[in-house]
Amino acid sequence: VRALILPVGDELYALPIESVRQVIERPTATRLPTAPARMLGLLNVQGQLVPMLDTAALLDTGAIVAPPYAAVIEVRGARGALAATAMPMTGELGEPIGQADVSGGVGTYAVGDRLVVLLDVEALFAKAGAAT
Amino acid sequence: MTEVEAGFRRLFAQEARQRLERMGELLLTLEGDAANPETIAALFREAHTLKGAAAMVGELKVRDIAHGMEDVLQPIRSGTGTATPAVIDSLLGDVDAIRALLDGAPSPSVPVADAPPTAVVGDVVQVSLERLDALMRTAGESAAAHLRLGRLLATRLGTDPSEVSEFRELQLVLNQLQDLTMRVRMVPLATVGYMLHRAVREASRTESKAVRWEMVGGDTELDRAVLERLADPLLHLVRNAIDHGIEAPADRVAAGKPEEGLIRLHAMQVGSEVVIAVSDDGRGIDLQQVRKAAGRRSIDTAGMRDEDVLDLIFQPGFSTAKQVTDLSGRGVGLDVVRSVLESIRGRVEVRTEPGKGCEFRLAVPITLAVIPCMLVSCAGQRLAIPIHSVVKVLQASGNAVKHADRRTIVMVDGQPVPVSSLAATLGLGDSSSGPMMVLAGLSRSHAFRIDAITGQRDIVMKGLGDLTPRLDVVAGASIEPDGSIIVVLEAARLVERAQGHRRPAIVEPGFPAAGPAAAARPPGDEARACVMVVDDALTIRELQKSILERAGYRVRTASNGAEAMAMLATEDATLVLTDIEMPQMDGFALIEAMRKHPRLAHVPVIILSSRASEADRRRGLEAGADGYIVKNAFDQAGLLSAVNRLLGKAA
Repeated sequence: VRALILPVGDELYALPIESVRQVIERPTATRLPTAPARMLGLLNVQGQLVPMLDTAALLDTGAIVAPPYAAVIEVRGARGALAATAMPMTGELGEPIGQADVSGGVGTYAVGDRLVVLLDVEALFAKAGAAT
Repeated sequence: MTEVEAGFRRLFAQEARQRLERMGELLLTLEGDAANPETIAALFREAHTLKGAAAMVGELKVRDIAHGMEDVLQPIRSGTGTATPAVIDSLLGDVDAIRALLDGAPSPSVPVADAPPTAVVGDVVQVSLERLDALMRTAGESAAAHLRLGRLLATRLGTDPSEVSEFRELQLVLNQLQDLTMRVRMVPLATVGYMLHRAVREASRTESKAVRWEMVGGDTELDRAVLERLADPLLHLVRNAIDHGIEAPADRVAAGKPEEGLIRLHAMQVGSEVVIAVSDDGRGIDLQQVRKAAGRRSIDTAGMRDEDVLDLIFQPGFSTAKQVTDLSGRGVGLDVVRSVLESIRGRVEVRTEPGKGCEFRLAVPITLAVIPCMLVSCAGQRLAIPIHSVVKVLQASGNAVKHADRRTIVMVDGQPVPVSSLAATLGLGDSSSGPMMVLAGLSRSHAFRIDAITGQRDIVMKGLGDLTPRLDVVAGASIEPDGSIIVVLEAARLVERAQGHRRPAIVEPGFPAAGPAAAARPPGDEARACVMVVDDALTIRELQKSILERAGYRVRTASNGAEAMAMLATEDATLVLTDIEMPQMDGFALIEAMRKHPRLAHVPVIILSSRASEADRRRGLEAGADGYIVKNAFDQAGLLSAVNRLLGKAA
């Protein structure tokens, strides 16, 4: 499976490549007053407003401040940008080697000598769009 | 049927709908003025034309009904018959029957997906909404492209675009294009007049009340999308007026009023808004009853001003009527009226005079897409505030700002207005020291300190996308020509937030789980709302479960009242949906048991039963049910709207 590997803090997460629209370098988000912490703000992606989501906050693993990269993901017409703490790369996922230990993850894979958790983007998006 | 035939039929359906609408209006006119020969002639003509057209396209059932209408109208036209109420009833019935044949769909205002994109009726061309929207989008995009071009001129060529006459000319033309496009989407309010008039007629009959309907300013135009959203709220207000406002004829006479009540819709354009007032000359809203109802929900109204108490009627689940009646209980409640208005950036207010009547005023922006705004800077961020909410701008100095009782106020037109820092209200940082902007709330004004006002112009709003949760104070956002984003604020909500006037949470007495944590839960948190479905038929349980789950509710099921009570004893539900006839413990007994239980007494209950008799309905409501849905009239939307209504969520 081709995937985009997203570094978030010390972890690596994988996103199905077909849901990835583009990777943005130094995304500048406009803050949305009163929005929950998991919303880092709004991005202008080719004339469309796309919310940038704090990937770490969505996975309950912390918080990202001023992310250097974000990957724009689209699932069922909904678009969101997932923040990353280092440059995302594409990679090939082999056989799953275990379950994911975070909610929103669907399985753990080995890529090179690292472990990568494949994310269920739809579940993640549902969490992002839910009322606070 | 060939493609061509199908095309003709669709065209016919479109035309026929207009004729039916006209016939309906004529019939209602005739009801008030039974002998008017012009009205009768016009009616006959419409029926005749419809008959002919129906025969042409092979809609034989429609032809036959129209033919029958002609037969009924003929003697009246020739003066040998009279248009009695019974005759008008039967003719209105025919109109409805033809409409039902035409679409099968319940609402004629919903555009049919395969409707022909354009059609010519007389010298008017009908264009599908889809095409209009595409036109609107394109006009908007060309304006944006034009702005980008201006930026290019400035950065690449070092030319000030406003100095280039071709550029200015293009701007002028594009503005005109956008303006014209927007105007194409405007429709007169009278478009929904017939529907409302019919509702008044039907509802006043059901209630055995005499009610006159009056509409002033029906030619006031609104964006079609706005009007479509307003149809349900208006319908609700009109039904409410008959249900709760207008008294029974005898009571009216006793109170020295004319026997016939009056419901009046008055529309007018005021600046960039259209104000629609729905008023009645009924008994008005009893503030004591509102206070009592508030008390039942543990809202302390002791220190509240009358206008704030009155405002409580717009709260989700708030009703002074004890039950959801058939008449006004269907579809939407006042909380939904308010949330619909807010979703189209409008507002609703109510005024009442005991014994004399009440008036609901809806104010809506004429169009949705473009909003003139003031641009301000606040805590390093640019924000836009719709101009129609800005009452006044006060300079930082030269205005008497007073500090009293730990609050800051400023005098505006002789009235004290509280002052807050916009940044602090939005949680963006600390106080600002620039000018103050006085914004109009739903009932009160509030002044906000900002860093500076940076400009004033039209903002083209865009949605925030599916992944952004609904934020009260944010109306939308716009992408500027330089690619930056400006967030547009919702002034009324901002004022509410600043005044700490959050909708008071409903706390159930003696309910430990509803402590501070539950009370702090924002309204409309349907994600956690749990509905208990009680029915002995597995199919029905599963059907309801799937409908409710798809709508985002958590669902638990029980197969009879006893099982439901046992489950409710361990985990409460936000709402219970129950059948009547069930083994062990039936629905009536379940409701009675719940009402006696301190923790469950306030949980809303809807009965869903195949028993349609008035006696059953009354018994259910007497037992303490909040709603009654008849199974054979059951539809998904009806169920959800009843549930949403009781849980205070916009349908």
